[in-house]
Amino acid sequence: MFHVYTQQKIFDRYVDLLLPAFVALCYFADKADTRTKPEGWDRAQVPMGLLQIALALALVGFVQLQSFDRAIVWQSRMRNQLSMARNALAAQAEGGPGLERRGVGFLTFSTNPEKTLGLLKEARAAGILPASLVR
Amino acid sequence: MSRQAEASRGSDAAVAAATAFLVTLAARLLFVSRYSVDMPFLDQWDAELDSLLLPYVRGDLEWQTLFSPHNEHRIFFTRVLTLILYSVQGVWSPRTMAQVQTILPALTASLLAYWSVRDRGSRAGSWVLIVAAFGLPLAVTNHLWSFQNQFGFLVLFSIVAIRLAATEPSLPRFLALMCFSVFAYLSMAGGALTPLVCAGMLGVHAVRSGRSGRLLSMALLLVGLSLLLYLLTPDVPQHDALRAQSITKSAAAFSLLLLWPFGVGAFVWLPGRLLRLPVVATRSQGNHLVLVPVGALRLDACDERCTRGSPE
Repeated sequence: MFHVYTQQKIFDRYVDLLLPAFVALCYFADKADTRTKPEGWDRAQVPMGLLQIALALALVGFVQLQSFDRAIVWQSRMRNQLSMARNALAAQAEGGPGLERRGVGFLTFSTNPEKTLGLLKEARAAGILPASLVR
Repeated sequence: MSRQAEASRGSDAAVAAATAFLVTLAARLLFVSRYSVDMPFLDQWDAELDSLLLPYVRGDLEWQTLFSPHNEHRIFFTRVLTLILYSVQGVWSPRTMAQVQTILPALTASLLAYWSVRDRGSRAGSWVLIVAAFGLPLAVTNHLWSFQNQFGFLVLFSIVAIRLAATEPSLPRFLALMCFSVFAYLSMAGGALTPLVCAGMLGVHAVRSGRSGRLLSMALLLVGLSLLLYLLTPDVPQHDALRAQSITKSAAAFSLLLLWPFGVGAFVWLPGRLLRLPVVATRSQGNHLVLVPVGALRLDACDERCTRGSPE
């Protein structure tokens, strides 16, 4: 498994490679179109279309970079929740006094941690919990 | 167009659709497989586990539950997909669902690529933009959270309905249009606006063709359907605080949505808007399909402004 930072760098490279490739593709595709549509407004569409594509791709690039950051944060947050849910189930299996309510509360059946805990118990009894939770 | 040219275009369209499907699916799957975690989140606890899977396992799930509201939404298709996946797998797996739901945007991209080539001839630029729009991770949560397939269903059904309204529909096409509008609503509450967009398109057809009677009747039926679906949408008092409380706040929220992302959206899309001007001006049939996603976006922004317009 790559370190999170390494993953980020890999995807940064992916975006670096991808965007120029898109620009090139769009440019040649629209250039090809001009051979069949050389008249009037159709001709004027080409530079404007290219400008639109370039602006859109620049925007996509920014959103993309943000997306990968957000994906890593999401993954980390969900792994954290998974770990807390496992702990809560383990504590319950040991019959100990403390189901970690604090942890289960974070599991965001957000306003009702008691209910989340109840659902976890019932789902485990029914055998339908995700494999990752009962492993 | 000669029969041979038509066959060739049909074959090009099929290739464009197949490749758009595969590339979009692969891009989405790569992202989801790398970042998703097999852990339920937020509404999944009550909407999937408590209301659906546990009653299903206990044997007391009622069919009405599939149509019942979840907040403002009636997420029929999400529920059906969850049940199918559970029945196949025998376990509740949000990660698998996140992977399976990638089929929806891939299918939408595939349809758009098909129509784009079949209606307007081979256009690699359009293909690339369609695949980029649906394949790249632009809205991360919708990719990684398995409870977001409602958006995939909504976009898919709405686009099919809009396509059916893009040319003057025969009676069977109109009935299909009504069905897909209802499907859009059974994906998310925002689908109540889909028939309104289609009604607008039929109105444009009516004005342009001069055969207004039949088309306007169809448009009115669609407006009625939209109203009916709106009335079927439950009010959720807990969400009152999320709504815009004044016209000023409403307008501010609307502007913000139209300027997405980073508040520069309006400027980024300006060349495209200028490009559409002659489309508005010309009377060519079918071309105003281009206008429809724009109308749909506007309506979606209106919807979002009304339901989540509070700056707090």
